[in-house]
Amino acid sequence: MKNISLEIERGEFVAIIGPSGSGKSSLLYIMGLLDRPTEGKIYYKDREIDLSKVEALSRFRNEKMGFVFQFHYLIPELDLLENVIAPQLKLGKPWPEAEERARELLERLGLKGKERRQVTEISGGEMQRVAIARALANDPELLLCDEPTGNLDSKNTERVMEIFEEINAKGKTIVMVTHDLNLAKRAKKIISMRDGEIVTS
Amino acid sequence: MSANFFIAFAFLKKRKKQTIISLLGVAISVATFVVMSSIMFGFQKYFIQQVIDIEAHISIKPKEEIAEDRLIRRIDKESLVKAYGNKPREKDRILGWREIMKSLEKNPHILGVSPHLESKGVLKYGSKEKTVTLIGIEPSLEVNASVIERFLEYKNLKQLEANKDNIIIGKIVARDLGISEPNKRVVLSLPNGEVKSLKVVDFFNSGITNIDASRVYIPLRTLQSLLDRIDEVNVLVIKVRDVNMAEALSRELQREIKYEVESWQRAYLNFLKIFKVQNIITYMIVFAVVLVSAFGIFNIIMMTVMEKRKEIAILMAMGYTPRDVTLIFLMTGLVTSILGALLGTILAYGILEYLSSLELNIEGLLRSKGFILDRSPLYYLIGCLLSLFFSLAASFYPAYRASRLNPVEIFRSL
Repeated sequence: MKNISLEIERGEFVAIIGPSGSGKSSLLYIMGLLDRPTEGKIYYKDREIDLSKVEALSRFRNEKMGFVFQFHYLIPELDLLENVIAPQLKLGKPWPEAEERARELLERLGLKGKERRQVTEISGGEMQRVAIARALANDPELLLCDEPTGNLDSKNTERVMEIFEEINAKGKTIVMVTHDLNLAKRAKKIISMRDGEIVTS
Repeated sequence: MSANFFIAFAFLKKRKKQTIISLLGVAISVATFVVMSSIMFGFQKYFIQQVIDIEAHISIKPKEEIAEDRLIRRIDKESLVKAYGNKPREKDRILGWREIMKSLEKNPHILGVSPHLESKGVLKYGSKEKTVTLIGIEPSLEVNASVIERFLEYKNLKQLEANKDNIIIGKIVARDLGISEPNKRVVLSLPNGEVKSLKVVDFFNSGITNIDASRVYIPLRTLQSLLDRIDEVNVLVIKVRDVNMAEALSRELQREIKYEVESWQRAYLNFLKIFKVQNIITYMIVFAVVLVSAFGIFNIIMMTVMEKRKEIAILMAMGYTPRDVTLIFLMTGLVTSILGALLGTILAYGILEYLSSLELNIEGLLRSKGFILDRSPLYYLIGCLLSLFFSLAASFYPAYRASRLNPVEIFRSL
């Protein structure tokens, strides 16, 4: 990537589009503090983030960010409820509180009654909704999504987009990487990338 | 519940088969250590205790002469007569033994001293014959320096004082001669040609085969008279306060006494060396078993790390640190090894219970009616700690590898 200078306002719903290899996922990983730029700085609420402190970055992600990927990455050893509890335990929440929050989120996302099911017992669309619930578990300020509907059929894609619009309406900032222009148009701001550079914003 | 433990436990629960296999490996290694230690040290401790109880803690004997000492080397140039040949051999006896005994009894480390006259002979009963080691003792003095009565079947040591023709023979001597009850008469033949009929009044049963198969106790004066060695003794048997100090004390005494002073540790040095070798070999085997079980854990955790790359990546994205990931996998190793150690402890206890109930006639260095086991709880503790240590060590590298995974590489690969 080169010459990336980008500002995202609180409450924005930003879509990053571009062809394969344009660097959109790389940009997302850097924003999510999962990867480090070779040069440059990252600011959050006007404060520079120290990219050398691994533990601090992890804590930051746990408290303030949620991730939704193309693949759900649910942990098969945990049931649906436990998957949504996992990030909350890391935050230090006691189990009863974490469980209540997890139930609430799963219900909001249409999975009431299925909390104790195993990952292998639900559909692809349901898995992605559990992934979204997990991403929202710690009430993050920022949701980072990398092709979140890439593996879904149109019905489930629509369902997920509605969830994102609803979350954004409640004040959450969403950055979504997609190659689908139609989906990108549902965001409030579109950033185009090509060959590692931002071409339009 | 700790976040890391929650994830670790979930991983273990789901992989029940692998967890059970690792667990069994740890259990077997703990049980092997405990059982082998119990058997090995049980035997060795019993043997050493018997030796300490039966044999002299320290013995004083005339020095063995080597042939060269007996050659006259110097020739006096000025004398008319030149002599070549062997010096007359010093008799096998301790001169001034009463004075030596008195002085030894003043030593605060010494509990008692007893004089012996030892010789070889042949016992005959009916058509059976056996070469024996004769030990002439004074029962009233003997009790100061040994616990010989403990090993007598009929506790009849006083009978040696009651009649000068009474003797006590080793249990295997009795067996080989075909004597199963006391009050049988045997015929003793000595190297000097003397022959005497004697009565067997008791049997000596120490459990140590080579002692029970050769030893005969006879009144000191009887043997002195038969050998024409009136008032002579050739061994002084010393009992010390602290058996572990016997070697140090024997060296001290050697400086003052011209005769050979030998501790039980030196007398049984070959056995003690054999025991050391036995211990090394046994522990090499046990170590190999522990190592194999540790490799089992290593293998399984390594496989889990390789298979759980996606899960590790998402945990890191969620905010679990590399340290958390290390701890998660270390915990899987720790939980497996703790449960395995517990199972191993139960298994070891069960095996030792079974072994101790077995009735076998064992005759080797020692004779016994079954396994002689040392059931110290220390072996359980050491076995568990060893196993835990190796299991944790085996978990460490895979856990470390897990923490070094790059989540971005994993997300990109799918």
